[in-house]
Amino acid sequence: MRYFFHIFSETVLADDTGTELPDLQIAEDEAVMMAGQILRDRRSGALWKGTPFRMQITDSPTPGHGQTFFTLHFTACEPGASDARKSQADNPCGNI
Amino acid sequence: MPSQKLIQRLQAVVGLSESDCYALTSMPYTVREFRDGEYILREGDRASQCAVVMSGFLFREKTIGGRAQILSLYIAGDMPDVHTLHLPLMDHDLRSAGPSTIGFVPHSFLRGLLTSSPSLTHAIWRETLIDAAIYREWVANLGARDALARVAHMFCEIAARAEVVGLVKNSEFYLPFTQQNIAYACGLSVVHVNRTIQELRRRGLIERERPMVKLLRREELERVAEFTPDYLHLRGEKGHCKGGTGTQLQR
Repeated sequence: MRYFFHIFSETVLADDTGTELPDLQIAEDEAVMMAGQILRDRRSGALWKGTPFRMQITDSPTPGHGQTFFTLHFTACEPGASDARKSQADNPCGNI
Repeated sequence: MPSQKLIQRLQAVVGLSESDCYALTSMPYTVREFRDGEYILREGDRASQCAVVMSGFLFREKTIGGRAQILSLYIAGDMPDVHTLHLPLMDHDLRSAGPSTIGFVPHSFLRGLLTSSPSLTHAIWRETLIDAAIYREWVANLGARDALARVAHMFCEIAARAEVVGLVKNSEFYLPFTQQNIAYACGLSVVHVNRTIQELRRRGLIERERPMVKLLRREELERVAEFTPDYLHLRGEKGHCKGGTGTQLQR
């Protein structure tokens, strides 16, 4: 099964080739490993300026198309930084 | 003959006398071919002979918690298990990446050879020290470099080592590793390696049509990798035996 790992942060990094993996469990493991490494590599980036990091794993090379298998979200929440105009879905920091 | 590339390698790192060259060319050996992934030795095995890589690639590996970690890589001219002369019990696996041809020399012969030649002893000792220096660089690579630098560094290192034994032509060399091999070596997800190689291509730094790699802008790739060849301790001389003991075979 070919899985496509799209990254949404300050830019959209589309995965247009995908990776052939044996099953969903392995795709999940690889996604967590890659997301962790990318966050580690970026150090203090857009995450701290309020831009969440999202990795969406789908069956399509085009972001926003096809079926989504799962999504990983990573947000940095600092006290008083939440934006009341955003919906709850966009604002996982809530009332920190 | 296993000594061909070994001599080329040793000449490049330490230099060999005529008699040492001659002794190496007269080593008794058996040749075996290995397929991709095949084990030359497994953790727990006791080695009684030393492997000399004649062609292809070998790697050391340990499996921890179900995940493989490739610990080091070996190319033609390398003797990945020469340490077994002193430490016969294997604490890791030794496997082939892609097809490889390996020459095996009995420990009993090597011991005799090294006893009679202090200079060869020092050459082999130096090789094991360089192996350790490469390990130090890999520890730094895995601990501190970001994904792009890690993969770039690996390509730079293999190119530098392959050059020593005449395996690089027009910045291009044979590298049969799968993306999974590279992932295990660099401590990255295979998906991340896929992405990283695409990025290296996108930046015009490498061309990769498996099993070949071409370094397009080597200086820039080395800058991205933070690579300097110092830790490889190469002398910068092309390897060949002085005094014409035997003809160097052209590949």
